[in-house]
This record gives sequence, C-alpha cells and structure tokens, in this order.
Amino acid sequence: MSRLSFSNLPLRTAVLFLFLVVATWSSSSRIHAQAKDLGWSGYTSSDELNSTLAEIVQQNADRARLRQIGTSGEGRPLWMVEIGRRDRRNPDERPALLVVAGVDGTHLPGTEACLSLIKNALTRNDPAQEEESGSPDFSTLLSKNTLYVIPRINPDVTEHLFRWPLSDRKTNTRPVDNDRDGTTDEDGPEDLNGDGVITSMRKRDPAGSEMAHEKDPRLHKKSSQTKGEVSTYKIYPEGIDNDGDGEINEDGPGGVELNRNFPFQYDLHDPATGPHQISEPESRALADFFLSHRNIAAVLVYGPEDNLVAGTKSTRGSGGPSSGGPRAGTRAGRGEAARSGFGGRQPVTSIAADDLPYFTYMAEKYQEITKATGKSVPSPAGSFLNWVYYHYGIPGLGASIWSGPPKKTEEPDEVKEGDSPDPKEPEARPGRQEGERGDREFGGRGRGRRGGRGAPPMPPSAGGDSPDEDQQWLAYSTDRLLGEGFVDWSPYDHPTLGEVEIGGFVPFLRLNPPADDITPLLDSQVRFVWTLMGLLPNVSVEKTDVVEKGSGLFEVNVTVRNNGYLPTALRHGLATRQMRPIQVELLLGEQKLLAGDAKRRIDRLEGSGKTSDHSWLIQGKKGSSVLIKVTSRKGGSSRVEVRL
Amino acid sequence: MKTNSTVLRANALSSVDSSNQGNSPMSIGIRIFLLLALIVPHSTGQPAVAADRVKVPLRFDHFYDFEELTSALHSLAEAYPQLLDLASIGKSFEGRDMWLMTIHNPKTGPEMEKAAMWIDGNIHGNEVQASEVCLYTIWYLMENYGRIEEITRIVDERVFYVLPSQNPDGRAHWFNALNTSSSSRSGKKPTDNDGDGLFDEDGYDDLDGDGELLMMRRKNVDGRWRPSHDDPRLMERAPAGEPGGYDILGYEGIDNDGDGRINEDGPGGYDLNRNWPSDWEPEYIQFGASEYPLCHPESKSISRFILAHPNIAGVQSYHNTGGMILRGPGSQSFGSYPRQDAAVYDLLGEKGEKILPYYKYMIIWKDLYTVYGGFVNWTYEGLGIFSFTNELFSSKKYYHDKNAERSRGGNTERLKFDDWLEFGHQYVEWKPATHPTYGDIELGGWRRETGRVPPVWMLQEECHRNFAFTVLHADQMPLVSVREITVKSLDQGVHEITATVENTRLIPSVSARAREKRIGLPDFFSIESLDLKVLSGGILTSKDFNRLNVVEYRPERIAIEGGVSSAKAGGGGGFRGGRGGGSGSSGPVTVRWYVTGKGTATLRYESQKGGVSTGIVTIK
Repeated sequence: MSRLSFSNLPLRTAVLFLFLVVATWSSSSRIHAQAKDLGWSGYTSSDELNSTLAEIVQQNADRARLRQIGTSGEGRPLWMVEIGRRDRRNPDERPALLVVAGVDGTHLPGTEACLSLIKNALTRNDPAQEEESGSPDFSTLLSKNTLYVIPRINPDVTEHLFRWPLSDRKTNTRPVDNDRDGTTDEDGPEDLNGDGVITSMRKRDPAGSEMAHEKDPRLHKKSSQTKGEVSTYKIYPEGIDNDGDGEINEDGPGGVELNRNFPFQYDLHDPATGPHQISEPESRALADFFLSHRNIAAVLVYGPEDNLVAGTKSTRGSGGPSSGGPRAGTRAGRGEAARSGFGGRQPVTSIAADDLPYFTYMAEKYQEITKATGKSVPSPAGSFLNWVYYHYGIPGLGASIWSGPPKKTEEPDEVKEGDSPDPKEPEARPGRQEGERGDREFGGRGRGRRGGRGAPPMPPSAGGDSPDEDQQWLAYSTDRLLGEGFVDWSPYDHPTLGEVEIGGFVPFLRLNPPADDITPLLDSQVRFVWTLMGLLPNVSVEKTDVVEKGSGLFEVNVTVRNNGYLPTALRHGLATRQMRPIQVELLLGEQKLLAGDAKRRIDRLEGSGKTSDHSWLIQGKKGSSVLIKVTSRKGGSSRVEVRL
Repeated sequence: MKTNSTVLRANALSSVDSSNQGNSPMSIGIRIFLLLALIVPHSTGQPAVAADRVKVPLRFDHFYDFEELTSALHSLAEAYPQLLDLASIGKSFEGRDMWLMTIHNPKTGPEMEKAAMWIDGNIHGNEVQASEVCLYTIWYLMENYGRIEEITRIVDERVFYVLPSQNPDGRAHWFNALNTSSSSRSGKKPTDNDGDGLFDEDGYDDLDGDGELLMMRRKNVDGRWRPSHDDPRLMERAPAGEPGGYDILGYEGIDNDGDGRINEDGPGGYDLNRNWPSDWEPEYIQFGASEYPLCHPESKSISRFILAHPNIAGVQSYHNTGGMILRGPGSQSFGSYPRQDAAVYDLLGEKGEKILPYYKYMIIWKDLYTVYGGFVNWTYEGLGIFSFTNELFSSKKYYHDKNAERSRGGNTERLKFDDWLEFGHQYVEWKPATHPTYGDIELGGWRRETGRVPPVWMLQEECHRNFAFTVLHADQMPLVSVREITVKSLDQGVHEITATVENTRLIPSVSARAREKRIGLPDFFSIESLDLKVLSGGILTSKDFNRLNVVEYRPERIAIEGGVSSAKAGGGGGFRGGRGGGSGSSGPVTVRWYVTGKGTATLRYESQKGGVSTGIVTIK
C-alpha cells in the first residue's frame, strides 16, 4: 500500500505541488523549476508538529501534558510530551522512559515514530485490547510509569530538509568561521544547475583521485596507483568559490552538529562540535531536561545511530568490579598510565561486562518485535546517546527505524506493493550510512576536519563509499524513487573550474526513505516502546512481617523487590556515582527504635524479582502501626503500613 | 633602474596620551573619600604614591567581603572614568553580580586591537585574598598612571580584564557564615552530596554561638589523641603504646538529618574550577566536575565573555595557597605542552620565582595534583592563551624561612607566630561545650583567617609582588609592529613591496598550541589600496636566496598561520638569554607583493592577540 502513491502519477504530482507550496511559503530561497520528489512531504514539518502536538495533547489532558523545554537557535519551540495518567503520584517520581528524536536533525523518521507513539498512548483504550506477547497491561504502565517524548529536539536542522535547495548540511545555523578567514558563512553551496539539490561536480583531471566505476560510469571509485589505475576525475561539491580563496563551499551556513555536542568523547577543537560541550540551546535544553528528571531509567534515541537492530558490542574488554576505580577500557588517544591517588582514574569507554547482557536483551526484544534487520551504526563522538550511559549510567538505546532498501534481487524493476526488507539478508542495509554521517561528509565536520586551508571538503554524494553499495543505492533510486535519488551528470560551465559535470546522489537519500515507507514500520516501534516501558525497574514492598518478641519488643521485617527487568542501577551507573541508592525508611510513631538505622540504603537491586531484606528491632504498643517507606528514584516509591 | 625606497615605522600605540590624568573633578574624590568605610587617612604609606595624591585610598591590610569589594570597585570606576569600565557580566547562582573591571585607554586605540590580560581570582570562595590582589592591580595601575612611566606605557598599550571574584557566593558565605579556612570553596547551588534526596541539609553548626567554626574534641580514656608535647594547646596523635585520652570529632556540627553522619552535606559541594571545557571529566573521574562543563551560571557567564574577547592573550587566575606559579597540563594523560610554548612558560615562570620569594614554578599534575577541567587548562589548552595560576601565600613567609614545614613542627611554629606577632588572635583555646550526640565536648583551634591567607599586615606585599609578576606577564604579551617597508621598482611598471613585521615581546602572536589546534584566526598581513593592483604576493622565507612562498589566492591578504614570534624568544640574546624558541620560524615575518599602478597603499598586520600595526607605502 505504501508504495502505491509512487506509481500513481496524479498523487505524485500533488505531492510535488505540496512540496513546492511548502518551499514557497516557508523559505525565501529560490524556487526551482525542478524540485526533487523524494517522498519526504509525508514527513511532519515543524509547523505541523506544533499544531499536531497542541491538538492531540489538549484533547487528552488526563493522560498527557505538553511542555516547552526550550527554544531553538532560530526560535522554534522544543516540545516535550509527558505521558502518564494523572493521579496522586507525581509523574516525575515514577520510573520513566525518555524517547528523543532528531538529536541528529537530518533523520526524519524518528519524529514520525514519536508522533505515532503519542497518538497511540492517547487514543488507545486499555486494557484488554492488546494483551499479546505478555507485555504488561497498558493501564498499569500509564499509572506506574512516565513516558517522556521529545519528538524533535533539533528542529532548525530538520527544517532545512524541507527547503530548497537541499544540501547535506547537518549543522544548525550558528555562524561559524569554518575557514578561519575572519568572515562567517561566506562560501556556501549554490544550486548551479537549478535542480533543487546540492550534489557534486566532477571535472576531468588526472590530478584527481577518482576514476569511473567499471560497472557503471555514473559512479566513481578511488583509483589505486598500486594497481596501475589512472585517475580521471576530481570531485567538488556543487557551488562556486564565493570568497576567492581557491576553495569551494568551505564555509557554508552553520554550524554545530548537535549530536556531537555532548561531553562524552567530545572533541573541543572541531568547529562542527561547537565552542564547548552542550553549547547549543537545543543540547542544553535536552541535557537539562534529562538531568532534572532523574527518574529516567532508560533512554531511546531515534536517529541514524543504531544499537538495537543488530545489538551492541562491548568494544574492549570490560568487566571486573566496577566500584568506580580504574576500569578496563582506555581513554581514547591518551596515555594509559595515570598517577595513582588524586584523580588517577581513567574514564570508561566501553560497556561494562555486567551491563552488556541488558543491552543485548533489549536489542533482541527490538528485533523480535520490529523484525528489523541491519547493521549496528555507532554513535558519533559527543553523542547524546553515549553520554547518558557513559556519564550517567543510564541504558541508552538507539534505533534508526528504517534499515535501508532490500539488497538488489533478480528482478529489480518491479517494485511490488508489500515488498519489505528481507529479514535474513545480512546486507539489507547497504547504505554505508557512515558516509552520510561519518567523517567523510563535506560540511559535516566543517572544513574537512583539521584540513582547514588546503584540504577541500569531501563531496557529499559522488560516491567514495564502497562502490558496490553505491550501485545498490543507485538501483534503489531508480526502482523506488523513479530516479529522483540520483542526478545524472550533465555538463556545466563553471566560473573557475571551467567544464565540469554536475550530478550524483541526492543528500540524505540513505537516511530518509519516502515517508510512505516509514508508515508501515511505526506500529512495531510503538509496541517496542511499550515493551521497553515494561522493562523499567519496578520496586515495591514484597512482604512485611512482624515477630513479637515479648514485652513490647517487635522485630519488623520487610522484603523489597524489583519486579521490573532492569536493575535499579547498572554496574556502570554505580561507577558513575550518579545513582541515588534505594532508601528504605522506617517511620515510627510513639515506638522506639532499639537497633539499626532508621534509613537503610540499597545501592543496586537487580530486576526479575530480586529481593532485599531489612529488619529492625523496635519497642512499642501492640496493635500500633509503623510506616515503611521505600524510595527508588528509578524504580518508584511506595509506603506500607505495618501493624504490630 | 631607479629604486624607490621608503622606510616606515608605524605603531598605533606608540603615542602616549599623558593629558588624561588628574582631570577628574575634585568633588568626586571627596565624595568617594566620604563614602568609603575603609579609608585610612594616609597613615599606611603607599610607597609608590605620595599619600596626598592618592585618589582612592583603599587599604590593603584588610579582606574585603563581597559588598566591600563591590563598593571599592565602584569607587575606582567613578574615580577613573576615562580608563575604567565596571560591568556585571552575569549573576551568580544566588544572584550576586559578577563584577568585571575593564582597564583600557580608548585614546590609544580600539580595545579589540590590543592584547588583553585576563586576571581573576577567588574561583574557590574561601581563597579570598585573590580578590585583594585583583583589586590592588586595578588600584595600583590607576594611581600610578601618568606618574610612573612604565605603568603608563603598559596601560596605554594593553587592555586588562579583571574579575576579582569568580565565585561571589562562595566569597560572601566565607565571610558571613561559619567556615574554616578551607570551606566555602564551592559555589552555592544546593547539591545532594550524600545521595539522600535532600540538599545541603547537614552543614556546620555553631554549637556555642561564638561565631567561630572550631574543632570538637572529647575526653575518652580510649581516645588516640593527646595534647601535643610541644605545646599542649595543639593536639597530636598518641604514639603507639602511649595513652591518648582524647577523641577528635571533626568540625563543629551536629547530625542535622539523622542519618548517623555529621556535616556530610553542607552548602554547595562542587568545584567551579573543574567545570571548564578542556580536558574535562565527569564526576566519577574528577570530584566536583558537576553535571557538564559550564553548567553553572558563574562559569557560563565567564566563558561567554572570554569567547567574545579573542584579544585576550594572557591569563592569570589567583588562588591560594602554597606559593606556586602553576601552569598546565592538569593531567598526565593530556600529554605535554608544545616545546616552543613550554619554553615561553619557563622564561616567565623563572622570572616569577625571583619576583615572588618562596614561590615555585610548577606543573599542575606533576608537582601538585591532577586537575581535569581547570580554568587555566581551558584558557591555554582550549584557547591557546598563556595562562598561570598563582597559589597565593606560603607558610614559609611566617618567618621568612624557606625550610619551614607545614607538618606538626610547622604548626607549633605557627602557634608561636600567633602568640608573638598576632597576639593570640588566630588560635582559640579549648573551651567546654555540649553536643546533642557526643555529650560534653570541648571546642578549640584555628580561626579561618589562618593558614591559607596571610596575616592582614602581610597582605599588601603579597598583593604587590603578584601584581608585579602578572604585569610582567602582561607586558610580554605579543605586540606586533610593522618594522620596515621597502619598495623596489621592476620593469614594466611593476613594483616589489617588501614589508617586515616584528613582535617585540616574548609571547608569540599565535601560540604553538593555537596553531596546532587551529584555534582562533591566523594573523593576516594585507595590503589595501585603491590605486595599486596586486599581481602576486607571498611570504618571504629567505631574503638571501629570495625564497618566496607564493600565495595563490587573495595575495592581498596573506594568512600568517604561525603568527609572529619574538626574536627574543628564539636563539641568541634577548629576554633571558638564548633559551628555547619561538613558534618554529622564530623572529620577524616578511612578506612581498608585486603591484602595478601609482598611489598609496596601507599595509596592515592584524593579529587577534598581538594587536594591529599599519604602515603606509606610496609609489610615485
């Protein structure tokens, strides 16, 4: 059903028209005779998001609250929807899951997943409706837990994907002097061929480093001198040298990549990471929200990074006791040795061995529910996802939702309705998404990283990844996008380069499929989130008993139990010292505590029914009662009255 | 062939305006005189300033609490409106102003075209005398501007940004609440140090209401402490096998939150000097780091100011205590600083050891302890600025004895010092008190003004010597100057312009660190003319062999990535004689342009940290 629209010409025209309307109305940029139809018009724009959220939340005030947690650099509101039944318990004190989309604002499907989730949460009638797969009943989840959904934390970057010309900019629009010439943003891309997208330029030049791909001359690959291959092309991004410094597009608009702006493994000296950690209004809003909601027990990030679809690997040997002392895993690029004593610890850079099975279990749940397949995509240095685990000990999960098109089969031309990625195909994600998010991307790391003067930025879309993968994407463009995902090379007379050709892949082709292709994937994402909610720690008083010792002496016993799946603190959570212990408190009336601390602490209580026993010796009147209060920041709180 | 040679010396800063002192109305001076509670009628002579000419008679035998500091800064700003500008760059957590004084003479050039020295203190709220050194710096520069030639020159050449207190809340509490010499180090954002969900609920308590925070001791036959055999007022551990008789129970306080612990969650509980973006590590690696870099209003405001002032070319951040001139790295894992920069640091640090008796020039991680996310680590490692932290006051100064120890014996000596020179004011002898948990106890020990701060009558020398070192540092910030311009006419109407710029000071205009990490802008040497057309140009790397690195694009504005370093810092002669090296190609930078046409051109060398220098060339 989803792909029907693309073989349906009138609808397609309508979509195109809509796109143009959006472009006309929302930006002052030039309107191009041609605008690519990538099927993205089905994705929610920022304005649509604002009105949708206001509408649906207003109608369901008993279950959801809409809050603005900040304002983007360009003045857009940053929304958070808090979902949970309103009752006497403060939603901010219940075990919570945080779902965030768009930390990497170029990833469009995440917002759709969030919206599906919100709509589902607000419209669903519990409880018997979905009892399948043993998931805890929805009604319980709504009153025991809280779900925080931030559907689009980086709207300024996302908005850029809805405007023409489309470039592969991943940064926000904070002015940055990428080429260090004292002027900011003075040499950005130009849509020279007027097709609405910034692609690349190739010039015949034996001094270049690329050659035509033997199987398809539209693609390139690096030439290898050791194999006797002669370069034929030099590749540039589409644009001119606006500032006359001999480089093209080396200082375009922006900016900072939000998902490289967080403190774990932050690179201070890359212009695209911002002037310092958490420097952007969006990252600050997200960080401050996360830090002021310590009831958050797990985080799910929708974006290009993915540690669910194929699980996560502990890269280096970790494990061992994680008491906060020196641990396995070394600080990247730094000396191993550190002075003992003052500050001799080394930061942890891999998942603790004790924690890994939890990550694996949740990834298996994800695969089971969504049937998604694909490759893990690591988070960039400075990501939000890694920050929550490595600095705060919270499980951080990442899902990209869409795993790329199926690998090319025998009959590529007919795209049939209902085609879905072959779950058994390990190469189901040929996109080498690294290319779209990794260090090779021009504009991405600003000025080709440390390259600065003299190191031209990498073109976005002329290939350079595995040529085989490029071929697959080219086929995908032809089959699925009616060729709109690739601009065929056409000659152009460039003001400084002379004769060139313009063409190549359209930006973010590999990240964002037509919205219609996402729609069928959203239901299972929603189901996964509810499943994840059911895995949160769930601490309660299992049982109490009183043993009368005579003469008004009583032994009060209490068993505290974690009925959730996740422990109240991961191993690394303890190491980070960010986990407040569970507090078990005995509140007395006229009774007297004879022995023991009135306040007990449990550093960590594992899930799946693990218990912890406590007892006190008190003296009091028979028949009087005492109160036992259990407070777990990430597992919930409860009180039990016990009669002597 | 006719050779047309023009030699120019141009320096925007060379003219000293000496007409702007003493032209404030007398009434202001009188008004301030009356306003100030801290005025002494010239009794303590200020050596450099004749008493009758002191405009703002501040005392430097006094520790200023936050309000006094604020009013002293306002008095100075009012008295010297031509040179001073006092502004609040933000608010502390509790809403106090972060006062920053800019010292700048606008008559000698625009602020952003002069190298600026950043001076701050008191990031740790208890390290109070750092603010007095800052205050003294402003005061001395102002009172002696126009009187002492060197001071006048330095004020005219440079900009100073002085933030006497990075932590106004910590300072205010140190004066106004119960504290030891070491407490109130933190900012005052409530923090849950003991993980019980309550914030700042168990701090110190004044058991006997005497306003002092003292030690608690209790008689106990099994106790392992005893009155010291050197001086019974002091306590010492009983040697094994000998009876003690006392418990030491920590600083005065009760178990406010009933968790069986005393004083475990007092005000604040973090370290503002572990909150900066370079080499930052989270709380579990670095105590006090806080949630993320610059998460506090104080550090955020300061960083905003510093990032907006790339002219800052030197940093001094005063702390106490121990008599140290510290530089980074803060951690061993950082590695070491580039050789060229380390050489510059060494030259300054060694001078400092002379200027500041009993102070030692040290590397933070190696000679003190590991610091992740320290302020001066950010300003050098992150921003490429030569930065020092002076740890003010050394106990060696009590008796001017460089062998003085801070150990047990040192304590006895200090008590004698207190008896003889402070008349017993700093030590409170043991007195009885009652404790809700411990019962009958005794209170006694050092008052907070002991140990980390000098006795007030020794404060002014401390201020002056540190000020002098920092002014030396400021004077060695880069200062670029177009030294020589020559013009040679070639065939077919082409002229060859050769221009040399020098840096007359020790510190290079671009530090090796900045160059390595591409921090800030490179320097630029440009030729601006309506009449002349630039055909080509480049950097002349060898005059003798005529080696020119031709700049292909935009030759009229040549980027000098490495900046210009002082010949003095390089081999041979100079500042301290033949040590180290500047930034690689040490010494002046020469560029050459080929132009056509007739008329005038302005040659402009601009450096973010070394100022701007121009020269005019005319081709007839």
